[in-house]
Amino acid sequence: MAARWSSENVVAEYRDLQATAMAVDCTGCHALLAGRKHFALVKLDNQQPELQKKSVRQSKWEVSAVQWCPHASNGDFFVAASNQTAEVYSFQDSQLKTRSVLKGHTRVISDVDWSMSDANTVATCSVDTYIYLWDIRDPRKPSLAYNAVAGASQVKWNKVNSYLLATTHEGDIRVWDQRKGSTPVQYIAAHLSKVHGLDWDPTSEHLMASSSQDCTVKFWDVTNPKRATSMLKSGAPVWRARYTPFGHGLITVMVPQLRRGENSLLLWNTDNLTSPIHTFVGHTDVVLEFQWRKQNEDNADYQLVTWSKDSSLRIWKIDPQLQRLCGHTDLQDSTELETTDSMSEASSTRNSIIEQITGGVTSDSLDSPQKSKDDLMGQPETLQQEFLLVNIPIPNIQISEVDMIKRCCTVYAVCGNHEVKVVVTFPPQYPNNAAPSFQFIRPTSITDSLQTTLLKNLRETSLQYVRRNHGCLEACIRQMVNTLDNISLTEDASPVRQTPFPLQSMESLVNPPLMSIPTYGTYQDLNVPFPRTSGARFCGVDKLIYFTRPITLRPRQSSSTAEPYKLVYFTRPSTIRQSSITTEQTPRSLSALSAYMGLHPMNMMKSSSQSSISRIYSGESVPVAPLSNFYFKEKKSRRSGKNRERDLNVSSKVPHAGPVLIQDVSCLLPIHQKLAETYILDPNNIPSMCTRNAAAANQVGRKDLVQVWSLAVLALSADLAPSSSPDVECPWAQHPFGRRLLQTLLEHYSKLCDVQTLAMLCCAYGAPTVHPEGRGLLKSSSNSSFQSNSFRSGPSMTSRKSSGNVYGSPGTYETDAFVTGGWTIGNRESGGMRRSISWTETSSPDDYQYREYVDPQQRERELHDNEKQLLDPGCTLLYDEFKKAYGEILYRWGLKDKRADVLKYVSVPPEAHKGIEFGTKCVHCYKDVRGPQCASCRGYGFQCAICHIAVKGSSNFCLACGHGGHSRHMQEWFQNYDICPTGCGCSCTEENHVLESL
Amino acid sequence: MVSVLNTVDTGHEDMIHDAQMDYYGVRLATCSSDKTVKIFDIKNGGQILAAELRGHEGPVWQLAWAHPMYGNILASCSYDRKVIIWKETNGQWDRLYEYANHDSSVNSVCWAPHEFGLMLACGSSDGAVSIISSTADGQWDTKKINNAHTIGCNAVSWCPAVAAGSLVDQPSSQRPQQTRRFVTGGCDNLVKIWREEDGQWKEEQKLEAHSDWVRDVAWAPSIGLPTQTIASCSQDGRVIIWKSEDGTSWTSKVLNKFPDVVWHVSWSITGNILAVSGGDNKVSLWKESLEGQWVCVSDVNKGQGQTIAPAEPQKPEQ
Repeated sequence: MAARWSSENVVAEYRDLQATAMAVDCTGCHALLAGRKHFALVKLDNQQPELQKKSVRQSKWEVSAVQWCPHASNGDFFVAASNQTAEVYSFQDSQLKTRSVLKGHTRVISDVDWSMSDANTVATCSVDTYIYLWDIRDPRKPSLAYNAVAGASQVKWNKVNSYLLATTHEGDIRVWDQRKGSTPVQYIAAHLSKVHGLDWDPTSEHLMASSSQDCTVKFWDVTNPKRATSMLKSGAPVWRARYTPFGHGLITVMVPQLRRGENSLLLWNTDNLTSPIHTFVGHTDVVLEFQWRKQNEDNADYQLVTWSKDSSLRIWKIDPQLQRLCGHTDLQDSTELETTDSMSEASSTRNSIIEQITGGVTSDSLDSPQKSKDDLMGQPETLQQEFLLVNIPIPNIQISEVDMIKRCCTVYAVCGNHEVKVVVTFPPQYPNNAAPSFQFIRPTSITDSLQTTLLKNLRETSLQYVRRNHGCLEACIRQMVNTLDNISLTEDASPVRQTPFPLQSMESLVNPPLMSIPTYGTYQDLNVPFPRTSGARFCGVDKLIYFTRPITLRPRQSSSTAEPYKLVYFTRPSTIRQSSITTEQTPRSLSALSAYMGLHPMNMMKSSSQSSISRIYSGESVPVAPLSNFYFKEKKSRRSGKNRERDLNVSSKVPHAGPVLIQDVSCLLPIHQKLAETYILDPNNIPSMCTRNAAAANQVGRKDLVQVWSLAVLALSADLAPSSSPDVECPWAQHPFGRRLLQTLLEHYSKLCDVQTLAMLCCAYGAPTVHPEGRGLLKSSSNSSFQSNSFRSGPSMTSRKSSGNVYGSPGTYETDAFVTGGWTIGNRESGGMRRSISWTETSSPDDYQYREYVDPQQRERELHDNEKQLLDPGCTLLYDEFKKAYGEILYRWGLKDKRADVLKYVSVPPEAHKGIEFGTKCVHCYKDVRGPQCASCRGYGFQCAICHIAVKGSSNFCLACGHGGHSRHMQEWFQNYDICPTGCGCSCTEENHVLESL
Repeated sequence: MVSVLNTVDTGHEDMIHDAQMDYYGVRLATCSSDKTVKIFDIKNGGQILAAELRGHEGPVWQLAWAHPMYGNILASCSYDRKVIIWKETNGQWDRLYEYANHDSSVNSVCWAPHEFGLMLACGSSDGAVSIISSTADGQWDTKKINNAHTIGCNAVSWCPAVAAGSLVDQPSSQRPQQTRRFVTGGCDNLVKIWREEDGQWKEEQKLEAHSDWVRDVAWAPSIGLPTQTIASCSQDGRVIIWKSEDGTSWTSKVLNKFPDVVWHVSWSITGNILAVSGGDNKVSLWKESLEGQWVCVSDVNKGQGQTIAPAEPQKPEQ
């Protein structure tokens, strides 16, 4: 059977190249040989391959993987991986050009794969556990990244569904879907040892083959990850297993054991995995790579290109005889069996049926399906018409060999791994109470008993229809498909092999049943961080909340002989190497918990009886695994197997949650609640204020603050009050004990983060801000209020009273700043801002005049106004922030009055109140009125219900009916009455009472 | 001296994952693997269980109290992929909003500074960060940054609303525009800073220094100084302090390398002390000296029994 003959092949040797990787391009004309020193382009010719181009590559690293772009549009591109980088090259005009360099992996790239659907997308995988998808036009960073915890050795795009890709990690396979986030959509614990090779079925979205060190090739339906659909046993570890582009073939290459192994390639028919159907003998050393050449149209042979460590490139022809052995059936069609083509092929087959049928009938019955539907109860009149009508798409069904003379047809159905061919013969009386007969054509893959069941079903169905003189073909076909579907569903292990002629629509092909992933599957938790079981948080102002797991619970790994983390560490080798104390480390991912539970089924059983919590951690199919079980109750007694179990029982009675402790950490903070309560702010008697604050500081033991406040008494002495005239003397603020001393103090307390002292100093050395009346309420436009203010900020007003906007006037260009970098930046930036304000303010004509007329005297005065302040006006915004931050802390302490005191000193007014505002509607025209007069009708906006005079000033009105008037009038009215003075019928006192209670 | 005010026995049936007190420090909320959130009134050394919130279908990972100006509002996030915002009305806690637009466990929630309105950021293991904000009419507006962190986002923390003026060029209005920022940490070992620009969230900074998953990030509260500080901690055992004077260039400093994973970093209100906790079941407090060195505060644990012991600081590595 397994004939060993050296089939007709072409050999070419390239000893000098030392190539480690080989790839065949999408046209099949060239092969690329890549090694440490060279890239060589070999023209594949049927007679003799010819070395076309050799370009020198200088690298320390071997090429680990190379692949040509499979798309004709970028047909001259190829990607080569070497150490941590993948590089995209192209051969253009026989010149090698670097297109892009994909850098991102931190360890050796193990595999590259070019997307089957997108000519610009390349997937790389590496030992560093990451899988990156790259857009080669943007090589700066990967367009998508997946992390798998374990290093990856293979990455392969699905050949049908462009979103899916599969990677291998040691013995596991993960399937990723680009549409489904960063977690794998499927996880297959495939082999006991490392998976070397992976290949997707070229025609089916769900089938793949994996080859492994454990001497097997397993075939998978990824929708059923629990069990391989079939398995190929080999005598040696299998390096690669790849599907053939025809039939059900598979080519395998062995990993030679001790270098005396098998260097041949084996060809298998996947329907019969007991022995290979062909062996390709010739290579004298390990086969490094094998790829298929694209088929020539005029040539029925497939060609396999192989590259071996023996430095020879060989081309093997697979003749039709071998293809047939692989189950390649329709050789007469001779074209490829790719899915995209199979659709059109399928439709063409259908067309041919129609042609056949129409050939046998008259032309008027040809265009009569519509007509015939109307008469005779909507049933087709003739068998021909029935055949025609059956051409609606039924999945996995093919009708062929329609013979109108013999009145029979063959129905070919594929379902799961079952193939059924049934000849249906129609008696002459059909469909008038004459059922067709059904006959199976051998060989079929279903058992005799199944055949009997199927036949019985078909007969029953057909009888139901012909009794009523109805055609039954379509119903019978549907019945057959249903029966077969049910059979294959019950057979768990049967692979859902796609028919080579899927008569189904593309949507159902693309629509993957992968959706049915378990909601809380364990592997899904790979990227969920391991739960925190202890923590500490600062809350409120001076509280530290912390919780730890109960002291009696210790992580299991340190106390147990069966190390639960072993499995975890298998999957995170990088961490092991980094840390010298791995056994003490807590895992990073929640999946570690389920891995642990997998090792301790006993513990799980125990716990499930005791608590119903945390079922979620281990998924629905797995029993409970509460997090606390992850930790082990430490016991001093000896630990034999039996005792351990008892320990566990005890541990479950120990509370699973430790206490939460609330600590007072106020002593560690630079701020004091006591101080906040006793500090006072009194702008009218500054020296006494400072003295009292010094006493307060003394009480809480802040000696430094006693000194600070004592200094303030001196510095803020009334004797030192600045003169209003700039000519008298240099203001005290410019003295070293003035502004500079204050700045040094502020700088010091900034470093200590003592916001309390900072804010209090800023208040004490400043003065409360007097905001122009009603500002921000009446004039919502900040611009207008600003202009009016800046206009008003004449020389007579002190700058601190004019709420900061004086800094918008042109006098302030001073950038006197603190020494530290941060401060300087702050000043400069805010300075810039101030300037920009003053420039944008120039839109008003008043401002123009004001600006044009720069009185030197006034300018001097303004400078003097700035200079005489102890607080640097350039830092006003910063000082405001201190006050606001302190205000917030006071609020948390519940010291709202103190907060209000401090906030009075903030230069920028608080934001306009955003609560409920009362609007007025004009009584005459019902338009919203702003101000006392209605803008549209000029009537008074709000008239008093008593005196009918417009209300301006104190007013009261009813929230229910909206009527009201002067407060005094209203008060008088409601002393005697309960209803509205307008006579609207509203009982205002009652209504407002109700509203108040809300 | 640091003193224990309360020892609260929560009665949770499984491990506690987070405990937070409200703005005033009078209420404690805890969440656990037993899928519940509990709220306690803490008074004079005593505790009263005020509410037990059930609604999550998985372990509850983290909590966040909103600013009291919006009422008593608590947000919780869970393994069940949901974020629930709870509100107390007349002593009764009810679900105010439930957000279930994540594809994997939601690991972190954080309320924005109250100046920005009622706005919540959530980080999930599906790699996305969601920003949920309450609109005036009781509706909730959601924005999602997909693939904020490949593999997963583990922590979010908001930048305090400072008008420090030093971070950005202010537009010429009287009140400096406050830029909204937050920081996230994820399984891609990165710390990322996001900024809102014209209603869109954009990645502003990518801070690389950790060698394993970043487990927590904390933006230090502001007392008004222009320096911005962020603490991040990671599976690699490192706690890193990030500082920036101008908001664009960040310098990193390793506070300490701990022997086990560090799960949590938390700043005191004045930003001068950092609490660090991790897989070793220990809590340590760290303080920056005037010379800029981080030192472990030693006197925290006196009289604490052996529930916590200070983590032995190793030689900080650069």
